[in-house]
Amino acid sequence: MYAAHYRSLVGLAVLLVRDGNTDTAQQVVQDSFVALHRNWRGLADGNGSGDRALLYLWQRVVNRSRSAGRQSASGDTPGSAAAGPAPATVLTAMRTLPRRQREALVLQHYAGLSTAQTAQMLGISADAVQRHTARAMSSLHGVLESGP
Amino acid sequence: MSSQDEHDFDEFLRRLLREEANAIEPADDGLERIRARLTRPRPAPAVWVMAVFAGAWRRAAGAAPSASAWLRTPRRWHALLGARPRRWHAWLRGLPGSRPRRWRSPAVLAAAAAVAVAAGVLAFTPLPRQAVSGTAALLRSFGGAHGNGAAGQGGGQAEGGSGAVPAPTTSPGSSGKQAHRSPSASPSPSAAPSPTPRSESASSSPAVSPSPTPSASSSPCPSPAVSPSPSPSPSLGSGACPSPTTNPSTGPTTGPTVGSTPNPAP
Repeated sequence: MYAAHYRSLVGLAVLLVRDGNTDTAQQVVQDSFVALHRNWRGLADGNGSGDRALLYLWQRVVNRSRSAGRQSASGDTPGSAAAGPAPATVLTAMRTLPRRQREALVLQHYAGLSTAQTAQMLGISADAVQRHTARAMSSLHGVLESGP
Repeated sequence: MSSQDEHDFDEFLRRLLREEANAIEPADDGLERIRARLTRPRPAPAVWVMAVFAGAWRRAAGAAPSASAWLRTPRRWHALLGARPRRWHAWLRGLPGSRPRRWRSPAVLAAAAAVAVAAGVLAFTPLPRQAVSGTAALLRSFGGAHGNGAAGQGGGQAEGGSGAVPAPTTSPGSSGKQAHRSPSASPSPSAAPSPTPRSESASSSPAVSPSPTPSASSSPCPSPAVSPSPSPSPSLGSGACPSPTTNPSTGPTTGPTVGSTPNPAP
């Protein structure tokens, strides 16, 4: 599970953590794996598929990213692979979005979750997810239109 | 903002987030750190709290028989509940075939009814299980598609479902890792070739949607839900699932034996 999901989870955490710090993101993911290990007995599926464990892991990363973002107010922002000023501006703007909006945006656009799955992951309704996503997209679009 | 603009911006944002995340290179010692933390003793307050709870639980378990014996006496119930049991008692006595000692029946019946209702709700609503398995299948595919280059192979017990998902080649880095992964994978008999579910744009390559992905359902460790997420809201849910993008050339899915590659962790 570590081999299959660690990297993608770190990527998710980097996007979710407010400061975008890679070290913080790794800490978040490692915490989640530790918690998963400690709760493994209650999370193991009978069929060995590990569905519940994986879902737990993702939810844990999302939740831990919130507190980690609160704890570390500042940090080094990783360099964006995307070239040009606009992507950096959008990424910076994304980090300033309200937490729910950012989470909905990342889970849908990065993780590829559907609205229903995002709602389940965040513990909110699908309508709320759509609302948050629409607001986030509007904000980011506004940032992009206004220019760097 | 027109719908075309929205779509373009969606794609732009997806690409941006993926590039941002793929640019992250996690440290190789992640697994070692996790193991170290698991072997490290817990802090003293946590141990103390757990000990207190364990002691309280033991006491409660030890007191349970005597408490139940105490509660079995009707007079105690009368003392606890006042005159109400007497009314039940009188009502039950009026029922045909009821015995005087069945004063507990209403409570028992209510509890049984509650249990039956709960069991019925759980039995006839498979949605939670489906949702869990569907989401997990998607996450597994997502993680498997992205995480192959991660440090270490984690003991080779990686989820089998990760192989049933097209390989990601969004960024150059990940494509290289995928190329490394493919030969090591032994195609499992049940892993179907990746159907390259959706190609939204030329740049973002086919996407794996969580809902209709046949590869997720045909994975070696299939989730029971064939269509995990009914995606009741058609706006973003089903259509905007880029998740692990794939290169059609890497088509055949990789099996669950990701762990055959050497573990780079020291």
